[in-house]
Amino acid sequence: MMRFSTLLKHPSDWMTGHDAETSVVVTSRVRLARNLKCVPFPGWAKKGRRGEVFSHLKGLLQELPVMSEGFAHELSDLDSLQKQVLVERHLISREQAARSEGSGSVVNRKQTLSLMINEEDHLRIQAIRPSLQLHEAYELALSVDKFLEDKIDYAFHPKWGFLTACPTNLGTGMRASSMLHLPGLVLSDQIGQVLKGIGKLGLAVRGLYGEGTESLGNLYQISNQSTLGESETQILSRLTKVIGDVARYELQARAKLLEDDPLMVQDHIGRATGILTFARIITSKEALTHLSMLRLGSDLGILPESLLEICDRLFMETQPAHLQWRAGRKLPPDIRDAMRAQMIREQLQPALPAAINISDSEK
Amino acid sequence: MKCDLCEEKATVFYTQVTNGKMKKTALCESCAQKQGVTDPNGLLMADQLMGMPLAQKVAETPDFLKEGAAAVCPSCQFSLEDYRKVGRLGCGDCYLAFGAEIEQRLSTLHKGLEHSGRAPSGLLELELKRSLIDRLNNDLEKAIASEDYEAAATIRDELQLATKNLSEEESQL
Ligand SMILES: [Zn+2]
Ligand SMILES: [Zn+2]
Repeated sequence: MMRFSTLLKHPSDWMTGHDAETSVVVTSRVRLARNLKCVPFPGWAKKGRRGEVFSHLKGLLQELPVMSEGFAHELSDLDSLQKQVLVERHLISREQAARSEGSGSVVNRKQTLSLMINEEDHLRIQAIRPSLQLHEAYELALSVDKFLEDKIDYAFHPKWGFLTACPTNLGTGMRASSMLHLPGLVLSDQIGQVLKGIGKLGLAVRGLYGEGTESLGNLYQISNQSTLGESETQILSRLTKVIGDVARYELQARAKLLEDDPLMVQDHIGRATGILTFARIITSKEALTHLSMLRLGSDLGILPESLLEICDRLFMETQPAHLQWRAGRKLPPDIRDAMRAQMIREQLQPALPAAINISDSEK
Repeated sequence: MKCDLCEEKATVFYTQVTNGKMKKTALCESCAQKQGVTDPNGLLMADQLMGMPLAQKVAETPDFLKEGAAAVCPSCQFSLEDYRKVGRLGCGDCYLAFGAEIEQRLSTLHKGLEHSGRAPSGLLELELKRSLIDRLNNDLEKAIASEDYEAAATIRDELQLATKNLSEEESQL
């Protein structure tokens, strides 16, 4: 079985190989909520019962070839930092991190499949693919679902579909979402309108980081709200179409910005490059904001293409728990900010043009 | 900043767009958890959050709509009161026990009221067999009513076979 450290040393399968395909739609995720028949939902089951469900499901999941040599742990075996790292990687939910006994995480080696046992539901099957590949992510999650349905009885009702702890997930139990990088729509002040438009279609949008309308790093998540009354394919097709449209608007907005005000675009990207290359102290908020501009610069051909993947990795690895895990201990915020700045400088240096890559005099 | 639902300090913030309206919400940790907001993939129930806490909202439900809703789920002992408080259920059977009350909430959450997605493979066949039996029973009544005894005999044979099939299948589950 894979150790926690091994899991973290390897980048997720969907985090590598980033190119034009992932320039707007970074990732696609599908999650299926499933419960066992005649067993109380995790939030209401007694501790012993939850433990039984965990062992049973974990055992079955490990029989799956795709899960072999994966990661499988009860959350109570992990310390708070490790749990936080899994949350930052989107492998478990914040809600699950707060649960303890009988709740666990099973992740395959490539980190394309992440199964949460005894989160709000007995099982949540989550599959993740790079770029806009919702149908493919669904197929992947479905393969696990089909494997399990022959071995266990799901809580299912012909009229209501898959029965879930919360009625918001009832029916297909499916939540599909894509993460989009939308700096062009933000810089051109069109984001509000686009978000409103998406909302009118009955889909949910939210900023991935940050509060209020601002989304740090210009990263947004678009997902379906309704899980009952439509088939999985209908939901996925509708979502794919809307996300494809949004991606097109984003590319148009970028092209128009470059045409109308190239200096403004270059200034944003240049300033972000300057700060990230020279800062010695940087908060995660500031890092997200500037990394987003670097990513844009890479997409637009202003900065090297290889930066795209570096930015995506830094988005994740500069988050507080990842930094502390790397340091091997808990750190106060000011130390983290210094470590974050150093890490960013080190990772960016090989990829940035020599002209702006002024060497570190103190070294 | 205070939590939108109680007096605690808000620590969870997010924006959601529903039906064309942008809504900013600030919640404390425990309210956020109750609303399922902390799950990055969870659904944010804008309609629920935009108005008032769920408990209050449900309390205003007219009495006649609550008929058929049990006070406690016979399978898991989870109570309707708990559901009103936390918006979650105790087990799959709770849906049957509290069906009347859950159903009125479904229309505000979903596109439809009936599942049209996939079913676990075994269950789907089971459903088809059940509906076949219903249909054969109907046909049989009609045949008898119209005194077509020859047809009735054929249908009765089919019905016997289908029933035997179904009970074998059910005993395997
Ligand atoms: Zn609160
Ligand atoms: Zn129940």
